[in-house]
Amino acid sequence: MTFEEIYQIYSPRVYRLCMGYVNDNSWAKDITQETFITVWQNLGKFRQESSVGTWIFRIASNNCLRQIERAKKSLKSELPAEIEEKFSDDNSEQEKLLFRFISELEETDRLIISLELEELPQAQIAEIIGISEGNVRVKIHRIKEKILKKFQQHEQLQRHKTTLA
Amino acid sequence: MNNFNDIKQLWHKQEVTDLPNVKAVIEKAISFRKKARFNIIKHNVILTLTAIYITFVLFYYKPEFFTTKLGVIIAVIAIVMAVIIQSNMLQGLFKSSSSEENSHQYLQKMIRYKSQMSFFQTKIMKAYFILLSLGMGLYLYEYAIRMQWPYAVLVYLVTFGWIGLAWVKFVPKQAASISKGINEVIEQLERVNNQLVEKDAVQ
Repeated sequence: MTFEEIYQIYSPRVYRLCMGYVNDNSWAKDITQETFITVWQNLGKFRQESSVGTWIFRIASNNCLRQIERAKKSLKSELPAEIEEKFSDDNSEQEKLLFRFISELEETDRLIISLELEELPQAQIAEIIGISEGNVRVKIHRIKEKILKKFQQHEQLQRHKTTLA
Repeated sequence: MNNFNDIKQLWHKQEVTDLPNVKAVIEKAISFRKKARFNIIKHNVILTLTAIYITFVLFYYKPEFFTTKLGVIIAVIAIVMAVIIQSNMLQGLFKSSSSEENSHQYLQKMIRYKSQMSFFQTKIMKAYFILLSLGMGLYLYEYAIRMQWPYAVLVYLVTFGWIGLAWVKFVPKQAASISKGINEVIEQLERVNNQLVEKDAVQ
């Protein structure tokens, strides 16, 4: 597989993972670019011990975690919800909410659920994050519940607002 | 939003249109590699010029005392150490590759590297001041011994007064600021690492 082919297939997927982690479009693009620069630099050294996908998502996940060093830049999830909602149209509101809810999770949970949403097998997620497959399963179950609950709470709040209006 | 499949669909609806094209990424990767090479060359040039400078001082001024020569060498070693700290050479040495470890190992390695970096930076900075003072003291000896004693005392007082002030005032301040920055990052890394460790223990 050439670098061009890899980039074509994986860059949108890596971008979504990064968006799930930082919930900031330009920041996510930066991490995506950093990830593919690392891929380009190390492609010759890649030993095929794991699949290319696992390898690329591992680099992307580690690059996301490295953002901890950029402490000054705050995550978008820290913005008040109302500000973001003002700018969103109906179609993308749900999408924006999803990325906001994910970015409100703990750092490693953000990665795990983004990888799950990218439909990676749980064994591969375990290999990328470095925890047992059983642990991944438990975590995914809990995270799914958390996100659904956030959506339901949001819907309830919206209904409540409409009733009041 | 009642089931996770809706969420999955929503996730894949996210449009990814304005990512840089592959050529731009390759060009950036090449420019990074060039920059890294230039940095290595730059440091080598600095170290070579320093070596030439030592040789020049020792041959041109022909100091008679061994202490003078030793003083110059020690002071120069101190300066070279300062150059290394100021540059990002140490960071490069401690940089962990994101392509070889899983996230859990990567976090642990980053915590270890950051702690080592903080330790080294603080120690090397202290060693710099000690070596610089020692070098200056030895270097001045040959010239001070030829002066009348009040002048010699004055020269030593001014020199060590300045170094002493730096040691008491600037060194602790700089060391504290280095440690503070690194410790904050370590704290964050440990917090994230614990998200994986604690649940492992529960399992």
